[in-house]
Amino acid sequence: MITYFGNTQHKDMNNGESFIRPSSHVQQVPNVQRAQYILSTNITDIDSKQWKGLCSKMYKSALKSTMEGYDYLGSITRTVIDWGSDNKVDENSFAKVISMIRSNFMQISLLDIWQQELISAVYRKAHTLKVYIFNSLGFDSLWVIVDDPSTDVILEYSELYIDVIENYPDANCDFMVFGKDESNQFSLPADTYTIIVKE
Amino acid sequence: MPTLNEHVNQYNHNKSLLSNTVFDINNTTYKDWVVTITFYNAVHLIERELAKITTPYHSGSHTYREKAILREKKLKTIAAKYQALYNQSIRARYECYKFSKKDVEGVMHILDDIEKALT
Repeated sequence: MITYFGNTQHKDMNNGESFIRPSSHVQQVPNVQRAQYILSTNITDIDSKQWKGLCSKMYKSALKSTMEGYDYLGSITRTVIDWGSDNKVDENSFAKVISMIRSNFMQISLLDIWQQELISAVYRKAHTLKVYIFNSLGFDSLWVIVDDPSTDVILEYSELYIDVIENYPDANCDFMVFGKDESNQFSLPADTYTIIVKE
Repeated sequence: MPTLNEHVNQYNHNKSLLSNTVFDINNTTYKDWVVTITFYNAVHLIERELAKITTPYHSGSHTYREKAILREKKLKTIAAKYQALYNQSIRARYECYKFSKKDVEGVMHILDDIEKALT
């Protein structure tokens, strides 16, 4: 069983994972106390704009922690703490979002190693807005969406792609870079996995 | 499958087309076609190099060509440039993207680099 600091009510939702309260010595740490306060606060009248803003921050922190190899849950908790004690979050919703984000980022670990390397590399590029990963006609497609797909920018991404793919001669990758306006016209497969780096 | 000379001829044929005034990038409304022809010129240069190893030669698809490029030391140096041209040609052919003059200059500059690397 995997145990995370969090909410006990979601034991059944996560296939053997449970959320527990922090132990007594951990409670001495002010930030953990604040996190515990947020988690145990049962106020549901947070408005949708605040909720959306917090979810966006949580998603970004989870993505950053996943890409940079540190604990995503700690990162999300820190995000909630930083979000401010004036904003109160319903504990059920908080745990649900953590569960959804965790499920989303677990998908990265299920991808081939070359795909993970490529995602990690494009994530670090300043122009990256989104990454779409899908399989079509036997090819693993990895499409990067950027703000301004100029020839120079596309060349930068192409160099990065070749640096990764030259180490994996068996990979069949359809790597493309598109602009955000083009991406609005795409008809992507229903099971496309999307990573939102910037909005 | 084309021979080495046929790839050379096709490359020259495409170069000649690009030098036509209708494709002058300062005035042309066919920037998408300049991008597409430029990409195919790179393809024939690369296929020419591959045909030096096995002739007649035709890669058959972008993926096969990419793998062949990465296998050959001389071609490996232009792999990213070829990928960038491929990316831009897909946008020109299938995404109806409206290229700027700067984009097209960038594409032509990449072909120049490939030409220099493969001479």
